[in-house]
Amino acid sequence: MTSWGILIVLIYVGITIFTPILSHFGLIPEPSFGLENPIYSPPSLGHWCGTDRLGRDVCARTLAASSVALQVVFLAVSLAVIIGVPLGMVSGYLGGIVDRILVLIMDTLYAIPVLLLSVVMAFLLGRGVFNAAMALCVVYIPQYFRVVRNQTAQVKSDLFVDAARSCGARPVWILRKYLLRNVITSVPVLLTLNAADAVLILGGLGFLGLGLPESVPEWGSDLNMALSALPTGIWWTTLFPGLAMFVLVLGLSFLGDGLEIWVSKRQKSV
Amino acid sequence: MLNSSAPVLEIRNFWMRYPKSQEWTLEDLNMSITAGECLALVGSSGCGKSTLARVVMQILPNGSICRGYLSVLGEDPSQLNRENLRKLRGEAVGFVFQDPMTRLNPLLTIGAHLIDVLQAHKPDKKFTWIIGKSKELLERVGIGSDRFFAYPHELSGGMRQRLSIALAIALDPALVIADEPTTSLDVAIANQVMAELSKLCKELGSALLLISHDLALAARWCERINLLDQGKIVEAGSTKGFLQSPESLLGKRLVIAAREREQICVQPLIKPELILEVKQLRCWHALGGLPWQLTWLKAVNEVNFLLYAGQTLGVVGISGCGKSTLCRALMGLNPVRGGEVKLKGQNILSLKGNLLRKARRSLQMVFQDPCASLNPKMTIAEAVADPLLMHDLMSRSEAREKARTLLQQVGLHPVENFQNRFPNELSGGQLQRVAIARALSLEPSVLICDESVSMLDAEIQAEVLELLRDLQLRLKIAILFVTHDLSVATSFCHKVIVLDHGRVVEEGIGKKLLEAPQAAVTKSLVKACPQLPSLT
Repeated sequence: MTSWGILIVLIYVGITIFTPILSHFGLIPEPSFGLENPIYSPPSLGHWCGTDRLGRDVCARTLAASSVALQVVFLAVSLAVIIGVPLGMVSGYLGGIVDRILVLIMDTLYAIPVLLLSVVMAFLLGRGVFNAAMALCVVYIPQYFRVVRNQTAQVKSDLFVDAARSCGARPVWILRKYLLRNVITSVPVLLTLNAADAVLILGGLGFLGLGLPESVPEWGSDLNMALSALPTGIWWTTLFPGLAMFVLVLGLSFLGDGLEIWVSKRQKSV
Repeated sequence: MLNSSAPVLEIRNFWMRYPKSQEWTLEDLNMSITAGECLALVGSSGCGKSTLARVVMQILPNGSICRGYLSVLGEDPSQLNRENLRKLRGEAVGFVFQDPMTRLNPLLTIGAHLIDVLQAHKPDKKFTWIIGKSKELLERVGIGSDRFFAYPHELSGGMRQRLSIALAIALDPALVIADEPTTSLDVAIANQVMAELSKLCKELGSALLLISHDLALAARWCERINLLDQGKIVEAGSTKGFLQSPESLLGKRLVIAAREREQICVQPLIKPELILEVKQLRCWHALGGLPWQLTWLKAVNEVNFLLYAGQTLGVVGISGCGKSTLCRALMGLNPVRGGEVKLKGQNILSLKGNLLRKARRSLQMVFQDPCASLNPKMTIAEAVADPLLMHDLMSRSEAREKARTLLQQVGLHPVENFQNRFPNELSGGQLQRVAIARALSLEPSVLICDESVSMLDAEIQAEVLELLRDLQLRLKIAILFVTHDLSVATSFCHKVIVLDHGRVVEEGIGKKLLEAPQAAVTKSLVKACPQLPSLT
């Protein structure tokens, strides 16, 4: 399962890297040009996955959209880790009033349904790659915060932290050298699982017309556009973007599960 | 029901191997215990002591291979069916585990534990009889039937172990196996528990198999001793004979190590220079109450002592007397409520910030549990070099070089074999050496050792003490040596102070305390102190 996950994610990473290059050299059609093409043409040799309502090549759009989706999700999850992990560590280590306030804020964020929160954020921030990433990252910060904070609070009471304090280590030194390495182990698992979740949310935002600008190819908005034609038997415009999304989520989930098993095995052996 | 000469437990030419293991854990083992006898099974950790106990109880993992003759009350436990085996466990053999807390169910009261055992084995008895019997058992092990509804977490370690004993003897077994029953207890309590256990076994006429790594404990409570080494019995005989003239190589080593521990080899001080002065130190914890009339737990109350360069000061007391609080207060880990700590003439309690950090450098501590006091995610060399880096004393490569020299100094050579390993890959004794090297990295003038050797095997204990002694001579550091073991304190320290309820109740030369204790606590510590019987 894990190896399937790794394979799928690697394929998507490959697509992200090679799609712009191939389209630059004209090997795959430009994803937003469709004036010369017939509209709603079924899959053929010319257009492997057919064309959509505006005559754009579905294959090219799906490929381009996967590269955009991966970029947005990577940005969002990295931002969440960069903000959530240090906040969690500080909160867990300091305790007291700082901890209470941070926990209150994070729990409030956590209590709001994920899609609702990201819809509101996306609406407030407006469209754009970075804005979409920000909207997603707000959703995931509380998750990293909670995991890291609890683990920090637990590890903080271990003897080796006292030992470091008695050597004269400053709090920042203790956080960096002693706590970080001990609390970071559970982050990769959460990271991959969140990435899978983020792909779906991004799709949802795009479907609602909130995510990325219209000029950027995206699965969600393509699906929305394809929906009206579906009852008339035009299946290719929904199938390929949907399938791409599904396989990416599946791959990331496999990878996350595999990582979790690996981490827990390693912890047991220690 | 048994005649006294027939062996309760007999093992002949016994071989045993765990599943997936290439080597025999027990090899060609012979031993027997007759009714009413006390036999000690002694060996260093990993020699197969606990495996033997598991063999007798038949609680081995599936797929283990056993060969040879084994008989408990004339029956071979491995041939019994499920029902009879269940009867054997408990009714014929009682078991006292090492850690009483993990052995007890935290959700059952102590009364429920006893009722459960009695009901399982004596289903035909009336409930009132069972209640009566349970209460009687509690009285017998000295808990008192008024604690019948208490939960395990409400009992102290010693009490829990007493309950464990009550459970083991509940069905009057012919054999009681005690697997390191006192290792997790402090000396004074351990002594009481062992006294109780051997008294009860005498009363019931049960045989006692005491499994321990502690030679002094075995010598004190058992007539016969079997020495186990890597699955083989290397020596068997009477305890007295063994202590006087051990025959096997391991036996000789163990006896010499145990004797050395008690030997007094304290170098006299030549020109003492005052390093640390503690005056009226108070560490109180607020227990609650109104803000203007708080009730205080006086963990450390008005403690005074002086420490000179090159001197070792022993701090002795039973658990809960404030020893650890004192150490942690000196290290700045616990809040102090008053008093003075003068380090080289400077009161460190009035210092703040960077000045304090700088002053603290000359005061370092070695903790009790070496495994817990090192970061599991840091290699050995990193751990030793880290204090140097956190104080910005030298560059990364210099610190690494210094760490290597320190590791060499504490006897971990060749350093290349150790420096890149993680703490979980080293043994307890090696880790304690690493912890000492780490503490020494800042070149302190005072080293605080909080029970630093009490978790180690006797042989390794002697090695670590020797190392400390050697380092002290070379580096002229003062050592504050905290322990509950008076015999170690006596042999290792120039002077000993005895703490009780946070106060110093007695102080003086260790030997004098041992010979003529004044305070009640000192007397009980001297009595409990596991010493080998003298040769003469």
